[in-house]
Amino acid sequence: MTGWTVGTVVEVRAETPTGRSIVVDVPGWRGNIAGQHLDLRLTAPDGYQASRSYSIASVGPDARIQLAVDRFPDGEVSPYLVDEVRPGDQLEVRGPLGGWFVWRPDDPRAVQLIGGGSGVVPLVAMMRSHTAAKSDAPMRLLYSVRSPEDRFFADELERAASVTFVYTRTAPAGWPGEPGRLTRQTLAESALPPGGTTFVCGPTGFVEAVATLLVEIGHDPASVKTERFGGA
Amino acid sequence: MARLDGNVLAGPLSAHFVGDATTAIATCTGCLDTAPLARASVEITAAGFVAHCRGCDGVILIVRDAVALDLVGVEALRISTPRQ
Amino acid sequence: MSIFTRGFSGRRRDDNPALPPGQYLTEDFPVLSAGPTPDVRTIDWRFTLTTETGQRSWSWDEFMALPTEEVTTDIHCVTRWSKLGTSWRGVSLDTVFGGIQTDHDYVMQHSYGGYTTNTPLADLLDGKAWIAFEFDGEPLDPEHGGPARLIVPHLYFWKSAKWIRGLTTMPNDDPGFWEQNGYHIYGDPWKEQRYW
Repeated sequence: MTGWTVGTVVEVRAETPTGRSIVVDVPGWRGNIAGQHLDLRLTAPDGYQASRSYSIASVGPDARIQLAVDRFPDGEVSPYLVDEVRPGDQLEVRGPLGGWFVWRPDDPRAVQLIGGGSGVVPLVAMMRSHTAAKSDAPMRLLYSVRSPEDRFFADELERAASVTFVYTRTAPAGWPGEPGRLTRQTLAESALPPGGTTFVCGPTGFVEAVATLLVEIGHDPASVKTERFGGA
Repeated sequence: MARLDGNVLAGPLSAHFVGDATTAIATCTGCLDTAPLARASVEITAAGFVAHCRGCDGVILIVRDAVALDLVGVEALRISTPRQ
Repeated sequence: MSIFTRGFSGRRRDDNPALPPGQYLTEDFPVLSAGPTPDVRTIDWRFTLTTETGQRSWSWDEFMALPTEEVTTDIHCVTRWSKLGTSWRGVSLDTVFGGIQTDHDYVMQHSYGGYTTNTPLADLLDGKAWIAFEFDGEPLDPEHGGPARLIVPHLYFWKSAKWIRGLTTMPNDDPGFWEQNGYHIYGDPWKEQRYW
């Protein structure tokens, strides 16, 4: 599917104080594999266009696809998607896209997922794909956010096995240790050892810091796949 | 603005290639670093997406959606078309 | 044609008073050309001014002997990007037209490669236009119109012909390349004169 097509927003849901998930019905959507994204194009009344890429949280052949967006304060598109979009709105989309930052359910290798903020979206797709396929491959998620209410898909992830939350600013009551950035120690304690595949997704700064750490503790750079969301 | 990576090229390149081009392996003219396009360091400019080599930061390619594709820094490009 | 997106208006563009309506700021310098970049070497370069009474022509060396000016100005592209405070060096068209008599009120700009664009003569004189050969202190890049291009900053930048080869005065405001393809005959960014 290489052309633009029009989808209709069917549901919006607040996920965090600055983020929401959006379900879009896209006629003719032939499904996507976990990790793929779509491009979204907006057109202003004067013809001005802006387009951005968004990872797809859902997997499989369903024409109803789920996105999740975090609002960048100086953003041009994310404030519109988080504050303005409502069910019934039409959005131009192109996809599914991407063949590199993807996980296929027939992959037997151990997988470590590491996400920051809204970077968890393609990783949630991978977990959903893993569950649906009843895969035996070891899969873990390390999810870094500022505070508990900043987690996307919080309920789903709390119920899932093999998820470790890292809080960088405010931890819940009773949390062991102080809030802080993801460290070598957290990786050693909660992440799978080198040898499998690692997917890292989130803001550019987060991704580069984590990728550097992974290589420092012995991961083969070729086994670490990254997806940067821009921002800081 | 912070750089993105070559994953974001999938849409713009879809107008020029059949299938996903971000898994294509590109060799940089500047330093001969060889890597999938998904690993490139990408900036979004008014002229389109500018992909830089992760090794030497030289420009590998510039793509402006369906309008133009400039393989300015591509020494070689290896594309594998998967069997369906 | 794409659908319009309800409730979307894009980047706040009215924050900067230096930006004409509908424009947004860019820090880089996009290259948008109607065709391939012509390859013109200064040894072959010639610039010719043609009026109803005759012609005046310069080689590159002769052109470089003319008085030049440093110009710092804003430029506005019809595709909505604007670049503020760009710096150029060039020969004022007042110098080029110095002493020339013509009854014509309009000018067609001609580029190497065949591009044309039309402007009123009055919009090229009185310190409003230059033939520029340096950008940002460096010789003008071919992809940006080098070795020399016209700059007419108070109009949309398609009215500033790259790879300038000559100017021909004319009695009527005949349309050039983009003007024949739906673009505005005058092109004032402050009145958003982009298309017919």
